[in-house]
Amino acid sequence: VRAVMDALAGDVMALEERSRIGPRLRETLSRITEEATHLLNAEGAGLRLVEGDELIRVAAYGPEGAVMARERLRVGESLSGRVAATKLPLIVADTDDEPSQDPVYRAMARTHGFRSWLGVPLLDHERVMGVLVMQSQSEQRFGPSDVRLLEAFAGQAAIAIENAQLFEREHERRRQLEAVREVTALLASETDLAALLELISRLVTELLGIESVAVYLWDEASATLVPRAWHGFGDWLGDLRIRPGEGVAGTVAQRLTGVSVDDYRTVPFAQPTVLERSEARAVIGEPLLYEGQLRGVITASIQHEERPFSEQDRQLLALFAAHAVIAIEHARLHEARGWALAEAEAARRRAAFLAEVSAALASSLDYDATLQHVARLAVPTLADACAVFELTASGEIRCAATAVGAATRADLAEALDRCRSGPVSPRSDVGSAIRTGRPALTDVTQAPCFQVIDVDADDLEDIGEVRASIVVPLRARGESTGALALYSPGEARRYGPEDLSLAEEYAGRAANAIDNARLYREAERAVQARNEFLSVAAHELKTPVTTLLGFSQLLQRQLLQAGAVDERVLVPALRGLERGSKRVSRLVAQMLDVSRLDGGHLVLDCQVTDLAALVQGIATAMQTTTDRHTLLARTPKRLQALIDPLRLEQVLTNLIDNAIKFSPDGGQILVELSLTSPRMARLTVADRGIGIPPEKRQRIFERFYQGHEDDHASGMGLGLYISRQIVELHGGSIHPEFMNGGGTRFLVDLPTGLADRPTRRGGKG
Amino acid sequence: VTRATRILVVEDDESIRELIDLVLSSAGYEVVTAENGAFALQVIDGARPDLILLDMRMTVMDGWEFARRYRASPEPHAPIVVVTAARDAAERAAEIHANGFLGKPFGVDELLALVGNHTRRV
Repeated sequence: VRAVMDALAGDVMALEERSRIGPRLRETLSRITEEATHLLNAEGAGLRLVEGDELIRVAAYGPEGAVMARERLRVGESLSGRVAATKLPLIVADTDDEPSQDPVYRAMARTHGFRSWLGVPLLDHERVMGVLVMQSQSEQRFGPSDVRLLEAFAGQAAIAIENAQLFEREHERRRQLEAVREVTALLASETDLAALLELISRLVTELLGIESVAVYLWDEASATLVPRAWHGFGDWLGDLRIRPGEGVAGTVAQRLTGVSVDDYRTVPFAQPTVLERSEARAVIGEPLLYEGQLRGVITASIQHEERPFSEQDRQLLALFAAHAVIAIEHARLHEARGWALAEAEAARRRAAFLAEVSAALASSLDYDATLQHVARLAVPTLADACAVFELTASGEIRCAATAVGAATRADLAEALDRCRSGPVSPRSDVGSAIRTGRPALTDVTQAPCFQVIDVDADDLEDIGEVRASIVVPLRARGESTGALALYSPGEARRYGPEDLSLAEEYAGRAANAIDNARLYREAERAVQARNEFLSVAAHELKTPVTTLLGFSQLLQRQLLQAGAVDERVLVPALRGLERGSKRVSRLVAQMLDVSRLDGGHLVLDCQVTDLAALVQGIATAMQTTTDRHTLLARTPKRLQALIDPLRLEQVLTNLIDNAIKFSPDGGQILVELSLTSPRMARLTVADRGIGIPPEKRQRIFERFYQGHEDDHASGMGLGLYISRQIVELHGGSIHPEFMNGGGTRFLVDLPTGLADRPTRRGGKG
Repeated sequence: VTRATRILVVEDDESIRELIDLVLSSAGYEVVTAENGAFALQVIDGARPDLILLDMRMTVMDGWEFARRYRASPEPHAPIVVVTAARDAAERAAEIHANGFLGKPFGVDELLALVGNHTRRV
C-alpha cells in the first residue's frame, strides 16, 4: 500500500503542471482545506476538482500523505465519487462500515487511524465543481450541524476557486501571448523563405508540445496547397497537392477559418494519403491570412495518442499563424527583392561585358585580329566555344576564327578546327542565319548543331556533348556579313532568350568592329595600290625617258662638237625619240584610264560601227610593227555593232600586242570575228607563244599584275585590266583559254546592241 | 695596232640598246649588243669585251644568272656595270659584285664618263 501511495504522490507535480494550476489557485485551494480542518476541528481535509468525468486531487491538509490516497477518481467511484455523482453530502460514521468498500481508502484510513469521514459537493449553481472531504480519527465525529457548516463553507470556497481560476486563466493567456511574442521575434529574424517555413514548423511543435506539424503555402496557379515544411511526417507529404475542401488543411483553406477535429480517422473529408500513411488523431488547422488573402495553412496533429487539442491550443495556433504569415510575407518580399537585385546585377554584368567587348574590339583595326578577338571575347561569358563565319565576296561561307575555353572537349575543338578547312554549307544554321538575318537558338538534344559544319557524319556523333548553340547573324550597314556561332557543351549551360538577346547585342558590336576592320583593310589596300601604281608608273616611265633624254643629248652633243649631225646617228636617234614619245604617251594614257576607271569616270562614246572593218584595220596596222609574226584576220564582210570604236581598238591592240610580246619566236597570230548569236559578237585573238604559267592564270586581269614580271615587255600590268573593264562596260565579257603546249587564246563576247533597231526605226531612219 | 675598246651591252629594251649603241659608237667604242643574258653568253667568247653594261631584269636569262655563269668561266673577266631602272641600283650592283652601276634615266655624259672610267686602263 505504501508503495502504491508513494508512486501516486510522485505524480503530483506532473499533475499540477497539466492542470495548469498557478500559484494563486494553489494557495487558495490549500487555504480552503486548512480552513475547513480548523472550522470543523477535524484531523485532515482534502479537495478534488472535476475535470471531465474525473475528480482530480488538488489540495490536502493533515498528516503527510494521509488524506486522499489517489490522484484521481472517476465520478461515482469511492466516497468522493459518490458525492460528486449524487451532488449530496455524505457522512461515514465509521470507516469500517463505509458504503463504497474501497480497499485503497480503507488501507489509508487504517494506517492513519481515521474513523469518520464527511464529504460535501462544491457547487457552482447546479454544476459540481469538486468535492471537499473531512477526516477524523474519532468515531461518529460528523453530524448534521457539521454538514450544514461545511456546505456553507463549500459555497464560499466554490466562489473563491472560481475567482482564482479566472485569475489563472488570465495569467495563462498572458503567458501564452508572451510565448508567441518570443517565437515571433525569432520569425522576424529569418528572411529566407524555406528556412522560415522550417522554423515555423518547428516552433509550432514546441509551442503546442506535439510532434506533427505541416506548413502549406497556397499556390495560386494550381489552386492547391503545397506542403513546404513539416515535422512528424515522411517525405511523401511533399508530393501532396491539397485541393480546397480536402483534409483539414483544405477545409481550412476553403472556410478561411480554424478547423479542429478530435479523431481524423472518422472525418469525412480526410485526405486519403494522410489517412493511410500517418497516425493522426486530433488535428487542428489555422489559415495563414494576409490582408484577408489566403497565403497558406498550418496544421498540427497529435499522432498515436488519444488526446484532443484544447481550446487554448487552438487559440495559440491562431495567434501564432497571424504572426507567422507576416513573417512569410516579409520573407517573400525579401526574396523578390533578392531576385530583382540579382537581375539588376546580371544586367550590370551584361553591360560591363558589352562595354569591355566594345573597348577590346576598338583596340585593333586589323581584320584578322578583329575576327580572332570576336571569337575569343565570347568565351567564356557567352559560350564554351565560339566560331566566327564570314560571307566571302564570292558568296561562300567560311569559318574565319574559332576560340575554345579551357574546359572545351578536345573533339569539339578539333571539329571547330576542321570547319576552318572548307566552306560551310548554306543549308546549315549558319547559312540560314546569314540568309534570313535571324538568329537561331538550338537545343542540340533535338537538332545536331554541327550541321553547320560540312564534316563527316561520323565526326558529328562524337560531339554529342555539345548541348546547345546560338547562331546569330553578323549584320553591318543593313547586310549580313557573316555569323557568330556559340556552342555550349555538357550540362553546364542551357541557352535561353536572355542569352540570345545578349548574343545579339554582342554580334551587333562584333559586326561593326569587323566591318570597320574590313573597311580599314580596303582603304589600306587602296592606298597600297595607289603607292604601287605610282611606283610602277615611275619605274616604267624611266625607260622611255632615258631614251628621250639620251637621244636628244646625243643629237645636241654632235651638233655642238661637229656642227652637224651624222645621218647614221640622226635617223636612229629620231626613230628612238619617236618611239620613246609614243611609249610615254601610251603609259600616260593607261594611267589616266586606270584613274578614270577607279573613279567611275570612264565613259563610252558608242556609235554604230562595222566591227569587221575595225578588226581588219587594226590587224593590218599591227602587222607593220613586227616581221617575225604573221597576223591573220578572219572576219565576216560586215558586222555592225553599237560600240565605242576607239576603246575597242584599245582592247584589240592590247590583245594583239600581248600575243606578239609573248610569242618571242614569232609565228602566226589569228584574229577572228564572228556572230555567236543574233545579238552577240565574238572576237578572238590566238597566239602560239609561251603561254601563261597555270599558277598565274587566275590573276592576269588584276591591276598591276604582270604575268611575266621579270620582263620589260610586260609593261605596267595594266593592259588586260583596262581591256576587261572596257569590255564589261560594253556589257560583254572576256576570258582566256590556254592551249596545251603553250599558246593563249582570248575570247571577247560583245553584245551588238543593235538587234531591235531595224524593226523599230527601219522605215524612216 | 690596238683594237678599239669593246663594250658588251646586255639590254632587252630595244630603244635603250640602240641608244647606248649609238652613243658609244659615236664616241669611238666598239659595241656588241645582246638582248638577254643567254645571248650575251653566246657572243661573249668571240667578242672578248673590255666592259659589260648589264641590265638586270630580262626575259630568258636575267642579269643575276648571267653574272653567275660569266664569273664561273675560267677566262679573265671584264668589269661589269649594272644599268637599271630599279630604285636601289647600288644594291643590285652589290648583289652581283659589279664594278659600278648606272641608274635610268641617265644622260649621255654620265654614260660616257662611266664607260671611260672603267676602260681607261685599256
